[in-house]
Amino acid sequence: MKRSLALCVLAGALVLCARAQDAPGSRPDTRPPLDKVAAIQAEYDDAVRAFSEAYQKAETDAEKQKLSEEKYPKAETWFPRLLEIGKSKDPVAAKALVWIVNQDADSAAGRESLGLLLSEHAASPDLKEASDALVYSISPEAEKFLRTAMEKSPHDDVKARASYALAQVLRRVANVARRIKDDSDPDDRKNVEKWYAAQLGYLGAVDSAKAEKEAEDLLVAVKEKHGTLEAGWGGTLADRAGADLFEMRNLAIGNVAPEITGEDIFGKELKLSDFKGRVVVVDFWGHW
Amino acid sequence: MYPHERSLVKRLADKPFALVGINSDRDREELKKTLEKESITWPSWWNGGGSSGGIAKTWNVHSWPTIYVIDGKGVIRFKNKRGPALDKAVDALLVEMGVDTRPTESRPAK
Repeated sequence: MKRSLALCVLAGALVLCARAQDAPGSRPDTRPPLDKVAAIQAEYDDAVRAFSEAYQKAETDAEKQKLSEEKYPKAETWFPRLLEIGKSKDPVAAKALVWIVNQDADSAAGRESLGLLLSEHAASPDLKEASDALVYSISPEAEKFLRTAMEKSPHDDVKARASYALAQVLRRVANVARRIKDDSDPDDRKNVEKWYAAQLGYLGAVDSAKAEKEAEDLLVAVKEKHGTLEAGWGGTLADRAGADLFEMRNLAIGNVAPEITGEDIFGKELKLSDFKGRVVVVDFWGHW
Repeated sequence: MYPHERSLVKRLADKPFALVGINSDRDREELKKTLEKESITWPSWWNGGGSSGGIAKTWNVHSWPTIYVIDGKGVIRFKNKRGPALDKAVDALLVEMGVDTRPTESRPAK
């Protein structure tokens, strides 16, 4: 049945797929039918699993590289079908759009999905997951989505997660905008301009200090109003927002570095203040 | 990363400079072997066997490596500089302290 399903997908003939699954002789499937998005998720998971099996079997680095380049399942393959569900009246329409946003919010389909979520699904609780997915996005669409979800959603947890995500986005936008204007590190500037080539107009108009101030205010509000709610990746929003506020207030350029104490790899006590009077590079690292 | 760090440490061995790590590996014994194999001579705090707690949590670190450059007065001056930009940042702070960071052969003869 798997194979017939895969073939159908290749042919893009969903109707035939449905028939093939009902064909006599196939093993009866007693599981409840998957909704359309869950079915696509299952297909995608199968493709990722097949890829990792092939990758593990590949013997040389060259083979592995070739596999990664040619066979890694690209989520955008599934975007057109999801977008179609997203534009329909299907009960999982919002979920379909969130799936796209989760995979690639900055793609054309991702930006279209954000727009549709706002215009058609503004009251959906699924906007919570879409908000989480935007933490690393830099685009006017992401910012607009989060501002609207934060202000208009009827759900407290959507408001809270959108506020938290907006704070993260503003911090990143402030950071990148500053690096684009920084003449002292031309290599970094060139890299950032390359990575965010599509967003240079948006970034050029950013007042970094103002964006950071707004991010700080949002984090304070999230901590006070919604602190007990769960954050997107576990823990509470109070923990997350508190850690971010500590970083913004104590670990910014110009702050005196907080003392670090503890034992070194061999168990010897080590203090950051032991190095006072020296220029110190503090490197958070792992050998992985 | 290691070759660059080794050369930074070597180049500034007689200067008021230190490279200090916070290591988030899980296996401490394995890590000790890595230190030897990679000639990692500079000290590192042990984050406690993972990336989730310890100093990395206090410093809100979510990506590795994360790098801070601190001046002689203990003030954070740069973040996440890498490669030649890291050398440049460190040298600028040493120069602020009146330290000559040029290689010996390029200095004017006394």
